[in-house]
Amino acid sequence: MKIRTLIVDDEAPARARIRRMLTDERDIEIVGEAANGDDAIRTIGELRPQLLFLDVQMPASDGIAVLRAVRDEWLPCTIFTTAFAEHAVTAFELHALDYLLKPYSRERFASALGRAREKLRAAGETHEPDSRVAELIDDKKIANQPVERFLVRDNERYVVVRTSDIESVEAAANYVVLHTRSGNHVLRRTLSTLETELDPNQFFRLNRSCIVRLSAIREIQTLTAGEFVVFLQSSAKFTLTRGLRELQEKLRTAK
Amino acid sequence: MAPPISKPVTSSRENDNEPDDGTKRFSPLTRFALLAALWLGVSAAFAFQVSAIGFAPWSRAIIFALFDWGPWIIFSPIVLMLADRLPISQKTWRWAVPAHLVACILVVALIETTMSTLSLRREFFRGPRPGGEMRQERRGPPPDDRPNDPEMRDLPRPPPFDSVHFLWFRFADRARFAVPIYWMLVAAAHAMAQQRRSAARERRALRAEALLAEARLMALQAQLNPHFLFNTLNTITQLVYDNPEGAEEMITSLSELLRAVLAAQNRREVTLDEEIELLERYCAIQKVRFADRLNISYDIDPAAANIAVPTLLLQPLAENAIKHGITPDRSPGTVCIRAHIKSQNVLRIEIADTGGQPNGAPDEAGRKLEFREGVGLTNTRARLETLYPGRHVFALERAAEGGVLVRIEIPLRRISA
Repeated sequence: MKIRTLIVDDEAPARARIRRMLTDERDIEIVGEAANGDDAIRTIGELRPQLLFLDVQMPASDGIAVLRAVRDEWLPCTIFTTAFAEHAVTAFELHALDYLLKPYSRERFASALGRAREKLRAAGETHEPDSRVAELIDDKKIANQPVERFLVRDNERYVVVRTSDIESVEAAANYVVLHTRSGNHVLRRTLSTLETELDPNQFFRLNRSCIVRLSAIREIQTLTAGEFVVFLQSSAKFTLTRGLRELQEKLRTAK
Repeated sequence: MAPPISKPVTSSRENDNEPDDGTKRFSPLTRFALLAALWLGVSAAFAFQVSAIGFAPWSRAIIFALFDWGPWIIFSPIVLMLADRLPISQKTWRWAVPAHLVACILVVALIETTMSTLSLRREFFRGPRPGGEMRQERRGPPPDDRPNDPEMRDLPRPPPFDSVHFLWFRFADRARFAVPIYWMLVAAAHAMAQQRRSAARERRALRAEALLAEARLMALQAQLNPHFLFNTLNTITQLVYDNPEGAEEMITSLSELLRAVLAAQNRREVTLDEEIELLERYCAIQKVRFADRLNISYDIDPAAANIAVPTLLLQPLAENAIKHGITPDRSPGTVCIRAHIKSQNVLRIEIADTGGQPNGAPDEAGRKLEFREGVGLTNTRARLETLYPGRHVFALERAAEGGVLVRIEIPLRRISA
């Protein structure tokens, strides 16, 4: 059984270098490459690699954002690559993750790969998410930024949903439904978890089961004393049971 | 399409709206309260003195003291304000001093009139004065002009109430203290203003120094971005196998660039020609890294070749354009570098990109523009401001190409290469 491996880096020569260093490794099967964050997120969903070489510094969607987007679908054993010892490196060390500082030596590469191999062998055939990676992306110092993209499974397809496209979110048991202008997407996550991942300056939780984008709100009507209905531009409506005062304040100050 | 967002920077400083004085000023209300407390304190001190010696009971003494000092509770804020408005300086004394003289007389007259009106109504003037029979309280009939107890007759008797002389006497009496107080207040206001000014000067000097040091540090970092450096080295490690000639070229280009960065610390300016040559080196490296995703176009006026530009001015801007404008997108992008002589004494340089997200929503694009302002551009902005204070333009606009346009205009000066 070969280790299914995905290489993510925005530079072709950097991908080629990893590919070359893996050519002699008989147990490694390179299943794909991705040159940017969006492609990486989708490819991880579709190809479900066991091992991931991930460039931390990528424009648009960096390595950590990729992992956060795919975390509920598939979290592979990850070897990070980076050109510069940035703050993420401290976190990698803290969570005992492997990383390669570019340009890395053959020895360094081999030892990182060896550790990944061991880790995968210990996990056996079960495809558990890499707990160290999960810890890393839950690390408050790393993950204080709102999530920008979600990977959503749509029948056989995988779709990347940008948070900037989300109008509202409704909870349904352990799932949430993301309403976007182009359609609805179901994501396996609780609403409370999702709330922490969204930018509080852009989204507001109206009640137990619903979060809306502030800029999508069209009007607020009084239902009975203390109860309000919020209408969105898409003419969807939700009841507001949380503070009206707070919502007004958010509407006033949010960008 | 997003409305063009431009931020031309000529001479405006960000801190303009910040109060310029280093010391914090009290609010008008607090200042009033402080002054009131001061004069009440003075009154209390005098009254205490009088009553302690035994000239008058405390209640009397405090009222008298308040008649002397109390008016200043109202008038000292006015005098301080006047002194702030009419500062006496080398330039202004010719009219400020006469103005203050007039104001001083007015203030004294006002105080005297108000107080005497008040005191007449309440009969205080005929009442106890420090010394003499004042201890016995008089709540008698309305005062006549002549006190009838003999002790009082020995005192210099005030002239009749309604005579001009009497008014003049009263005014002079009041002026004995009021005039020095007026000028002391003016002096105090000047001292405070001076203090504020010098504190502000000191703060400004400190700020300028810190800004300069920061700009230097950032310039160095921007020119030698470690990410760029190590990524390039990583690229070379691969090219060694794939394309030895490319690797060779990459190494020489990187060397040229490093040499220029090191030289930049001694050489503050180069010709535009040299700067563009260096930029080509830099872009050549980036093109290898991003292959067919990156195009660079140059449109340089040959007549501008020997114009002086700050060393490594353009490289951080090109880096920015490549980083934010090109690489987020999958489709290839172009960075356009243009330079021409705008007028006889202004050189205009523009760096535009085709933008990362041509289909991005307008507000998204707008936000992106704002975001981009933060990173590498602050340094360039600060550098230009130090080199050409108030004589340059540094503007960010939406480019016709779709991305962002950075426009720089600097004074034109030719040097020999």
